[in-house]
Amino acid sequence: MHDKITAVNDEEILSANFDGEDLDKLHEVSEEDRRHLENWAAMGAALRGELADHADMGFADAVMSKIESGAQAEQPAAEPERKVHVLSLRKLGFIFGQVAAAASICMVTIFGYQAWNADDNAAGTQAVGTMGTIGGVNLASYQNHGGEAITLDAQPQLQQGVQLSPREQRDLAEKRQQEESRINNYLRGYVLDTASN
Amino acid sequence: MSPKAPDAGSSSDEELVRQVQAGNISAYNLLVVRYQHRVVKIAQKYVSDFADASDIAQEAFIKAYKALPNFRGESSFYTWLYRIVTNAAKNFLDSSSRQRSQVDVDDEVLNASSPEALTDRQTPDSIIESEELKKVILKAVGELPKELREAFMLRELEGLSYDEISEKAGVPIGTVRSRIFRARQYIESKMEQFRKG
Repeated sequence: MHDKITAVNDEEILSANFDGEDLDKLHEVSEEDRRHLENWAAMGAALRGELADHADMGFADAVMSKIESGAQAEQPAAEPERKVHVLSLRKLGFIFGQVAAAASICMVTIFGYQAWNADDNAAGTQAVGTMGTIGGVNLASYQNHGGEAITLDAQPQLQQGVQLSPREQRDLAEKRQQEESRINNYLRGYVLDTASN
Repeated sequence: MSPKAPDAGSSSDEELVRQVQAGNISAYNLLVVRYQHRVVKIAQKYVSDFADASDIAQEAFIKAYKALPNFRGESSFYTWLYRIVTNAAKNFLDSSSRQRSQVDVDDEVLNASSPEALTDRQTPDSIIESEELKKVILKAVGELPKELREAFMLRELEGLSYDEISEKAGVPIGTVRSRIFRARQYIESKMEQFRKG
């Protein structure tokens, strides 16, 4: 008897749910519930003249079965697709990051160098130092503050007590030579470029 | 006066949509039964065959379910669903006219080669002549005790909420809920008798 009462109450709540009432008490719809819902929907539709020439009393059942089977079929496939998407986004982000970092370094180098020149040119009154010869190339446009000539010919500042062997001195001189050559090549390119503009 | 369609664009639709979006599939079942007859009738304005109209309506409900996560409630659920149904019907007409122009075989051969298409539509038990069903329902409504009939008609024809019916009939909401449910139970029993023949 008690079970009977509970079942009736559940159906009564389902009837209220069907009317948009007590939706906070909406429970999972069973096959039996679906049959009731189909019948109740047909009653209202018949009264309002909404029935088509036929009434399919298994319509909602068919729709819900397709949705439920479709949802089950789609669920496992959805996850890997999302991972691929995330991976490709990460890859793109990494590439953009690298490009951005390289571009930033280039911009800082170029603008920093130009700003340094512009500062000295604008000052005017201050004595302008010309960088000395580096490896035989006259760097006319390569200026610096306070007239201090930058030269790689200066003896390296060695810590007190550090003695270099003749071989180490030769290596050091060779490395300096290479460094001079590298700087001059870079500056030669810059001077030619600015002269052509 | 034309009957007011219950719950077209009502807050209960919004609540059901919210529940579906939160993952409650039973809430979508309620939306399907609530609108299935109207949706089939819309589809039948485009195609004369009931089976085609039913297929279009099913497809529309499945599409709506899949698109529901993106539904933002800028229009009512029914207005949104209406657009989906009309688009599904137009697509159906386009594809069937293309098929007709592409397939150059006689109908008998075509039908014989695709038995699956036939079995999918063979649901004679669930499809009922609407005129007969309507007669059964109206007769049962006429047999209802006055207070049950009043509550049921106010809900189904006038689209009043339980609150409004309670106020109009001067009875508690619980009584309204019970009366509407008992009315449905009685009419349903008559429908079942009719279906069993």
